[in-house]
Amino acid sequence: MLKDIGYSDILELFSDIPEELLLKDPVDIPGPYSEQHLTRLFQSIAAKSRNTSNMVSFLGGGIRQMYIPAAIEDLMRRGEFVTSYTPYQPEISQGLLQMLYEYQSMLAEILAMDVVNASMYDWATALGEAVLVMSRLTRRQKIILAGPIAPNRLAVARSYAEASGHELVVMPGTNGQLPVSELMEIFQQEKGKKKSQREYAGLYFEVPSYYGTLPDYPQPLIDAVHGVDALVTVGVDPISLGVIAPPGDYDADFVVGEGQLLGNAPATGGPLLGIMASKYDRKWIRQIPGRLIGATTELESQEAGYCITLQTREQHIRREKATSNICTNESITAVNAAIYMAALGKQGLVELSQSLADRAQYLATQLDQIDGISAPLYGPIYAEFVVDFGSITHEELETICLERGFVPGTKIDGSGCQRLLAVTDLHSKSDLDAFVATIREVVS
Amino acid sequence: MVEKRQQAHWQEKLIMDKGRPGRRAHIPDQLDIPHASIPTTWQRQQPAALPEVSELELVRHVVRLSQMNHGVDVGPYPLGSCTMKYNPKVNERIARFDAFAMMHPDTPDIAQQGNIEVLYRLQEVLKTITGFGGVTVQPAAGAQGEYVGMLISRAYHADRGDHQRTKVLIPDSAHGTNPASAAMAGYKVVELPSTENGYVDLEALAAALDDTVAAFMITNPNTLGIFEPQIKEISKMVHDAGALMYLDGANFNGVVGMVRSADMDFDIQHFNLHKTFSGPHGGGGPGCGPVGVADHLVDFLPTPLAAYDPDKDLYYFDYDRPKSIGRVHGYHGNFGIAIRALAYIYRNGGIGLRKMCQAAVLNANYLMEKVKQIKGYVVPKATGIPRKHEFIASPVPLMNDTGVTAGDIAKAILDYGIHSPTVYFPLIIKEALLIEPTEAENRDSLDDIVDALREIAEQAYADADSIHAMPKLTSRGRLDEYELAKNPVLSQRQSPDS
Repeated sequence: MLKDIGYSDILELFSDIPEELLLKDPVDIPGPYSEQHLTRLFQSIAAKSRNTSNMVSFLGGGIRQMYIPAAIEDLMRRGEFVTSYTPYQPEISQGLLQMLYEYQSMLAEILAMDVVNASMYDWATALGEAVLVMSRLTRRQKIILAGPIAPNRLAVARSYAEASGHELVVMPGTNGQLPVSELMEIFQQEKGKKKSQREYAGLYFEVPSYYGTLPDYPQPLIDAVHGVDALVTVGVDPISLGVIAPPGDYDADFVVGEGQLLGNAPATGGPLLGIMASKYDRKWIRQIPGRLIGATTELESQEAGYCITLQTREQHIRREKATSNICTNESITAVNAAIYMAALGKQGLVELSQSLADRAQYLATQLDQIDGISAPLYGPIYAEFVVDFGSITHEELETICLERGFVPGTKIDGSGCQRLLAVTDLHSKSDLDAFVATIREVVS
Repeated sequence: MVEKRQQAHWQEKLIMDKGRPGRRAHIPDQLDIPHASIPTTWQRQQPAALPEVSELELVRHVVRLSQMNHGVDVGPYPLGSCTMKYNPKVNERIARFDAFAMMHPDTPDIAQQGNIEVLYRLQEVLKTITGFGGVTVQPAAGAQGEYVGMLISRAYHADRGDHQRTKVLIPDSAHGTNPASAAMAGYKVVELPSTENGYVDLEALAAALDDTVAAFMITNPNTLGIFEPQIKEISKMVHDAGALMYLDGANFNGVVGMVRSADMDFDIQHFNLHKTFSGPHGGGGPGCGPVGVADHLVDFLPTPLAAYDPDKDLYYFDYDRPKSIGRVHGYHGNFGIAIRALAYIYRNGGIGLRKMCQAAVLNANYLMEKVKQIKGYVVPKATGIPRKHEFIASPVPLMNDTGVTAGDIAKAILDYGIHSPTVYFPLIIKEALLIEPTEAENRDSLDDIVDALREIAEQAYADADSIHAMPKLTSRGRLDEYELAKNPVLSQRQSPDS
């Protein structure tokens, strides 16, 4: 091949690189390894971690290890999807495009919102982008983040907002609840100002919150926010919406959340699936970040087809004026989520959703019966809740639980031994009972 | 004659339009425990209108749709600047190991030592490959890596009290993410023209550099596949002005193992592990966009970093980093892609990475020489200079002679079972077809691409209208994108007239 194109040495193809820069030797990385050697190496690395199938984990806080049905695990390996690029040539990418359109459509039904984009990186970055969208639409710079919110999501929201001059006002509230009266007061004050002098672009809160709690039904609060032309973004756990009222019902403008819960592995924290949804508004859909898939037809027939649309918002066309810099997203996890939502179906989502509420309430009730333990510390809860384990230290609790094969949730910053516990559909009744028995033994 | 390929053409209804009431696929596990009550005001009134299909219906639906999709596993994908190389299956299997795939990232460090070790090892090998002093794996994609790089630039200049640096310089041939990321970080973007040969214009650079410039973002090899021969001089000019050198690593496949970024005096670089190091692109994502920095910027990297304590022989996440820019991802970025990349790097070793790069460059130059000979094509800029991993072919003569454009060629080549090159990018070249074959395609496959392009050109000269009617063998013909952009239908829930 080299001779065919007039060269005699491969290094001639690098003759344009200054001699002083060209490495004479390979970089110092071991290998090449055979497939067997490579597999053994990674098996030995994996063996240094606990085998998750022998561990009962109560970790949540945004993502959870959920059961992945066999059919989904099998389908999510289709090389035609996994090894494809962004579907910029729709004629040869209809399969992926239709799957993504189905993802958008099914999630829209769950959220009761009209528009869902084709994915963000994760919940935290979706929140960061939602802050920027609310600011662009209102031309105001202050955004309130209210109620219990995970520290990692807050940190990411700051990274997205503050470099470009936005101000995040964090109002955590007490007892796992939204600080409704303070919020009402802020928006009433805004109401008294001239439109041009209003400062608040919007409000963000989570249902359920980071502490697993459901706030008071937020309709009056949202009406107050809308009363000053500000916007509301709600963060959700999509599984909860089988039994809990969806954000579209209480007039949320934007929704963010974590789609990992819809059939994707936790994967040590990524790839995840950032949910970004909005009401349908001709102005708003031109401000949403990320890719949008739309339904259309062939030019020459009425046969249905799908393609990326409204690309003029995106970085490859608008460059520094784009709505976001996002290009690569999390498509394959959105495809997995689409398959999962279809597999659960109308009845399955309700049942799964209820079954998590059942497990959480059962576990909290059992733990609460142990002397010195308070569970749930704040309510009402859905699938996650804060437990006060009393006088034991986090380290002691973690060590003993790990020895017995349990991960006792996540440490909550603050006084004492308070931890966030989450249930999943992997938990059997005997898992829950065994954990309660272990805790009873540990704290007594 | 090169073979054309008929893609599957199923008339597959939307999944929501299939099935019947009461049909089920996955039935959730129910425990024998009391039913929890949801507060009345919070109870959902109407169940979400999800499909009601059987498992077999769903499996057939997804398999049929997959058959209407092109991937590297199906055929060549010479999409420039995207590095659509083969994604080795062994990496997929390793990424699925239970301890990696099913681990919650908040698991105590002691119970996920191997997972932290994977991140640590990847940080270390990327340092070795580039000569940098520190690496974070947290950014979820290349664009987020760019954003992190810009935040690091802000933090570095602020730390020195250099607050007047508000501008970032970017060549006109750059990827669109560069200006978008710089703008998101609050910088003003100044676009620099390229020279006739596609290089950085040193005079324009000198004129633009002053104490208001924070960084110069550059892609090397650039988006024409051309290496900047004066990169050391450029770095010196930028550093003398007190600004930082940022390398967009999207085109790293053209130099990996041959040149180290630190030797070119770059301060910051992002990697696209899903390009250079074989993470599957997943239909547009996930990616993984680690950032490497020179020693003086290590303190500003995102938190946490994977770290190792040799005394205790323990891996841990280091949160004690007071100058850090903070977090850009809820957890540790796309671990699933990071581990595939690490497996790929070890599978190749230093020796293999060098060979891989050489093969990618050979393939690009072979293809360039062959395409150049096709009537109607030119290869603009930098004549006689070898390209790195990609090159631009421009069918301007063909368009002038026949009216067939780069966009038409992109559609016509789909009928050969070959994905189109990147079209109309970079913006500075007329009728650009940016072609990147990667090292993964063999000579037969490269010859197929050349033959397809030649046949299309010949057909254009013989009967241009027939090209406008292509593709014909893909699952759908050309779509009405214009009407859709005018009246976007973005979900089935959205009523058409809303």
